[in-house]
Amino acid sequence: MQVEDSEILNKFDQANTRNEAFSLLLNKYQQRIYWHIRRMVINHDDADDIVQDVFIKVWKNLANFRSDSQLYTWIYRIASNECISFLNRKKIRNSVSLDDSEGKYLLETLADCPYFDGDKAQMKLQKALLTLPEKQRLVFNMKYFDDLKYEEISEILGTSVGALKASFHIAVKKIEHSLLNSD
Amino acid sequence: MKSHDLDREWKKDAPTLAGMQRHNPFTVPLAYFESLSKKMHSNKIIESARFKNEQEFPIPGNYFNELSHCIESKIALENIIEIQPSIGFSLPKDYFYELSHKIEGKIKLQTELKKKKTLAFWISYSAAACITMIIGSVIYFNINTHDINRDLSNISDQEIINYLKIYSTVGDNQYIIDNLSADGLQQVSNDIDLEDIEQYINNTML
Repeated sequence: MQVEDSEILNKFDQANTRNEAFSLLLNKYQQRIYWHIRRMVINHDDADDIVQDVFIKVWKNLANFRSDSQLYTWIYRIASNECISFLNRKKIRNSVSLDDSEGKYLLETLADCPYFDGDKAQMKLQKALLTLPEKQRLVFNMKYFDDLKYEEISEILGTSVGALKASFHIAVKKIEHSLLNSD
Repeated sequence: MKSHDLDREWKKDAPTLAGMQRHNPFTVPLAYFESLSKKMHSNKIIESARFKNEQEFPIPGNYFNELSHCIESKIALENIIEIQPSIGFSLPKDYFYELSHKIEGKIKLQTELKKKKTLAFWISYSAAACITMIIGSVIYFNINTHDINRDLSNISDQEIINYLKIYSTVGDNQYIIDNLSADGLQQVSNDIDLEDIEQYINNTML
């Protein structure tokens, strides 16, 4: 049985139950957040580093969390920002300035990835996904894989619902085109 | 549009994608999430210890307030140093832009004036040289011109006669005859005997 966010926050407010609250929070969200990050950065070790950074930030800032937004959307936002920052750092390190080139880097990572057990169709889908700009990929992943509502994605990314729907629709069309035209 | 309508719509637009199973193809190392929880607790302890250590180092009371004042003062000082040339003075708008235009204009004007001055200099010196040459030529020719009449007037008649006696030639006779006046001829005929004349003619005609 999953613990309510409100209970986690209440426990975190009290010094004697703070560690317990953090354990509950980790158990509840670590896998969702890991997969969200992993789908963006592809490589497990990179995802592992980022997920740890995300939860350290959660630990340090949870006391200042205002409950006018939902806890998981707040954590998702931190994770999404960390992913974008990581990919930007990768771009700079590889002297890459175009989204296409970033896609090439991630395609190579996907090809070399030891922790991938998808079939040929899944590989085609992942390759198609890597042709999308990173923010469009974020939207597609949250809608398609995480099955989040547009309102929730809007809260996470700070983008209007209309813009998100348009972005998802464009992403779907691009992926369909890639699936039909790839070998 | 309702959510399920939207889902239906994208599935209609992308049948290949819709036909695929929503399967997570990525995997993680064995017992990764268990170890992740442990790692996260360790990280949390390290972070907490780091916070505690930071709190254990004593700092002077009101340090951070003073620190921000100190930093702001230094930034203000840096800004002052950067804008130092204009401290206490104000300038008209676009002054430096106009100044460079003014300077460039003046340089251009001065260059043109200098060219004109050089031309005028050469014209005046050429004119002076011409005048000097003309005056010099006039003086030179005046000095070197001989007035035969004036020169001969300074010599006595006897000297001329003596000279002619010694140096005159047959060609001179006609010239002498032409220039002798009637009185002169009379004087010559009175002073010289006819025999002398005849002898002279005989001598000189040979």
